[in-house]
Amino acid sequence: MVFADLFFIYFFLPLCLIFYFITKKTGIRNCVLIVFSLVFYAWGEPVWVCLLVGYSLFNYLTGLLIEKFRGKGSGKAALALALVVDIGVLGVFKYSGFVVENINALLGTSIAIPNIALPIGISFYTFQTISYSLDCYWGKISAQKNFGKFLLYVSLFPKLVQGPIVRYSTVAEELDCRKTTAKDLSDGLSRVIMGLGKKVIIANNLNSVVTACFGTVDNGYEAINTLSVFGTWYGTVLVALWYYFDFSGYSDIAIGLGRIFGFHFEENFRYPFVSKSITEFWQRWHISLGSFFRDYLLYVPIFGKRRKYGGLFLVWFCTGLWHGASWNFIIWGLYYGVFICIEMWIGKKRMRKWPAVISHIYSKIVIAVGFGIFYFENFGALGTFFKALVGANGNRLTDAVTENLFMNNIFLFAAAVIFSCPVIPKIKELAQKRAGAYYLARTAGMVCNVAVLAISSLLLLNNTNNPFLYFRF
Amino acid sequence: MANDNKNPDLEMQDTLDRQEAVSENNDGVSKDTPDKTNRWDGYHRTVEITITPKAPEAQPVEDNKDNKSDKKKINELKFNIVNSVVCLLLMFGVGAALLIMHRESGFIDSENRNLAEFPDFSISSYLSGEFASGVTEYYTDTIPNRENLKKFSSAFSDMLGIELNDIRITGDVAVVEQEELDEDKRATTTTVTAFTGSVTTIEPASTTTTTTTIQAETTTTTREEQDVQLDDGEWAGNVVVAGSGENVRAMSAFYGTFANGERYAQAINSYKEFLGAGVNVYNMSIPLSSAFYMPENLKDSFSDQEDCIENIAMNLSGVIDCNVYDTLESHADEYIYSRTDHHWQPLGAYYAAQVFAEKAGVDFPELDTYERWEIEDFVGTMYAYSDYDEELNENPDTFIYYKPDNEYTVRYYDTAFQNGYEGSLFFDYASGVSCYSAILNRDDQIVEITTDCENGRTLVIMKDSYGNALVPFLTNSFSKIYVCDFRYMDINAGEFMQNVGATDVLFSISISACHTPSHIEALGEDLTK
Repeated sequence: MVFADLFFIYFFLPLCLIFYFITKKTGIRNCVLIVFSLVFYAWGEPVWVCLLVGYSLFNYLTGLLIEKFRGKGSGKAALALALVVDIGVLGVFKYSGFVVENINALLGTSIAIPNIALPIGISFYTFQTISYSLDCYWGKISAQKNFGKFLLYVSLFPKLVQGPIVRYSTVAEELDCRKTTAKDLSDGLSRVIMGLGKKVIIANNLNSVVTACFGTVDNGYEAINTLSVFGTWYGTVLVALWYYFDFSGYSDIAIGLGRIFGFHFEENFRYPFVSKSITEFWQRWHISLGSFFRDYLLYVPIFGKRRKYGGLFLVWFCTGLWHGASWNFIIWGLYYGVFICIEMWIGKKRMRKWPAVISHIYSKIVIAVGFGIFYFENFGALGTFFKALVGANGNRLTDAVTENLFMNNIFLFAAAVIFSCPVIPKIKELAQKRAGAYYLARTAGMVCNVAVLAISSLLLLNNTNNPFLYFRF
Repeated sequence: MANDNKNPDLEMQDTLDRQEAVSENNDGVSKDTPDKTNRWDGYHRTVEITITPKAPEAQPVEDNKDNKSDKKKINELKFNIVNSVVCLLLMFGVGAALLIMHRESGFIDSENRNLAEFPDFSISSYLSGEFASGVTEYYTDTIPNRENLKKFSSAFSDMLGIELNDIRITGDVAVVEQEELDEDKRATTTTVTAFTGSVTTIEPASTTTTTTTIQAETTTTTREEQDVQLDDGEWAGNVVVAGSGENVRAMSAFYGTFANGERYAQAINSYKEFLGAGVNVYNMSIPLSSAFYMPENLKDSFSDQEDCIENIAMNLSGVIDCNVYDTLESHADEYIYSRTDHHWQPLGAYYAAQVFAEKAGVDFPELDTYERWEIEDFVGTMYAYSDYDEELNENPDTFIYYKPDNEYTVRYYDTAFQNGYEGSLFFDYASGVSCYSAILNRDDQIVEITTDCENGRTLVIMKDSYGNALVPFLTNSFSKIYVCDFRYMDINAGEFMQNVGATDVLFSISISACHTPSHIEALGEDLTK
């Protein structure tokens, strides 16, 4: 099931809320959440829901073993077993096709490419259990003794399929005992609606403009071949904005739903586009993933003295690979690695002396081009994209179609740019200063909630309308 | 559910929030690069935010506001409750309403499909995920009053920007470099004319043989898939809507390349080769409305249809070129193309048929000998392809078609030329999006028309849906007419032509289909079935 769907908003969620708040006992509430989470997962993965439960059971047991034999050799063995299985599961489901493809290409063999469908959310929940096992091994948390609570931690539906990657330590206490305050409920609902609006109103519309500029993987990115230089830059900025609104919208919904149920997840996005450097960008973009790699991979001392750069590129290689089993994602990751490396050489202090304009132009260009790399999954189109960026494919600087596309969506573009900056927190901050402003802001907030929910719902109504498949005549 | 809130909770929450804000500010100012951060940094921060009750930085803020804070907290609580109630009421209210209200069902005109039905449950449909996705689709697809509510989407997309020169572009509209015609080649192209003399030398094959040969080759298994591949969906996703009011017009952008045009011409040539010198083969590539009505500033952005048609002609060999571009252009101020549909109007087809009749040397009656019929409120396919541009919906076309006054009978066969039954050439009940189907109704069939024309000539029309509109204007010109859609042939088209004793074969296909690789392939494959 996906969040941005009328069935979820008006059927699944209300039903879940009724059962959840019917009782005050955390134990029963946990059971309700587990049942709804498993149904939520089974909706999209009717078979792999068994994998999810079995996988949770396995990690629950290894967690207990790791704790029992902590500091001993068998503790290490239990950890190794957990990691091998966790990474193995991810590897088999997500990367086996990619690996075989590359082996075939490299060695000229023709091993049959395994056709394994990727279970939804596997990249997220495997990372959560990996962090759980490692934290357990390092003694930073104590293992969960109750399987129900552990299953809830892994399967909790708000963050199950698209993150954020929630650390066990973040929710450990709330699994045992939590309350939903009026503020939690109110903020949670507002957050869910805001996330929905980001996804449905902004991201989906940006997506169609992106498609108009670049085409899609299904049509071989045909449109990029004839796109003007201006159109290419416009498109790549749109791609960045689109991913931001899509992904951060999803995180908002996850965090908001968590709060409704009394969980406090950490922020996953902190207005990444205000960054002045790429280093800063990655501290604001998909924070739960960045911090995962930082805490569990970067400082793993496998590179000895050269770990500074070795570890850095390993992290960025993995970050890229995590996003998808395709070379363009790896290049995308390493691309950021290179810029972060350069920024390290220049030094933080020297970078800070740069005029703000220069820093912003530099970081925005690198980010935008980065998302271009992210978007094009085949190298031919990626090459065309780079040529088009610098006008090397002989296309015009701008043309009538680009101009029309730009003007036809100018308000959307403006809204996307404005809301990708911390405008709402700023308004909230100003509103705190005077009582009148506070009332006004809160009332406006409520009106916005109603409006955004209504508009999103009406736009979602059109989801099933796919005339292109049906038109025969 | 808001009741289980107590003040201490609120207070703690308040502090936490402020801390979060503070920590956010800190993040903005001083950033640690990941390489220099302590391994546990992320972890510690987690603990601080969620567990430590108060941080020292937050203290002074707390003191300053102390006197007002009680009142403010109460107000905040009120706002939180009201906000929660409003949001939940909306969610639960709409949710409950959707459960009890009567659901929409059946066929919807504007999308030309049936609405989703509630799926049947079975273990296999559950395990394949079909049941769950079916339920989700049913839930959204059958929302009460959907037809009216969905107009909001297009109204909303209109508000996303400004219309430049009254033009709205939907979907994947790209610019193409226009190709230059090879002038040398044009100069050497020979013009082929029709052999219009006595045709009695060509004996039509007897009906019995026809049936037996065809029976052996009947295939009906892959129909479903073919439909999806070969439908007119090519039209979708690249629509330009220009003008307003009664002048609003939706057009498809055209992206044909000379290379594809050449491949198409070769496909036609192979038919000529197959049929030999005794059969006149004509090609009529029909321009789209965008050829004549595209706004000036966009004209150069797409392939030039006139050049593309000429390019095809230059690559034909032994085939009679039936170029209707100039003729249609000279009548462009008449109602020859629908504004809301991707097809032409029958009037356009009349002028094109006239050109063909001249080339074929057959009789062609004046338009006023026909009986004029009209269907009002014709909002065509472009409404959906333009993502529901309301301007189109509010300014519908009128579908005007013409019925010939001579005697003829019509038999409809399936795509294997089997199971024939008598029927009418016209389907006057056609309405809504499918008004164009008033002529011949469908594409996936073979139509046999026997007329009172006594010239003994038999015409086979190989066409896409554009060709349908030509048929009524040719009933005075040929003794027999067979209408085949090249996208839906289940038998060998060449053998079919020979078997029915074709004297003339007309390819009348829209220019965009002439340049679509899958269609060109289908045309070629029709000779090998």
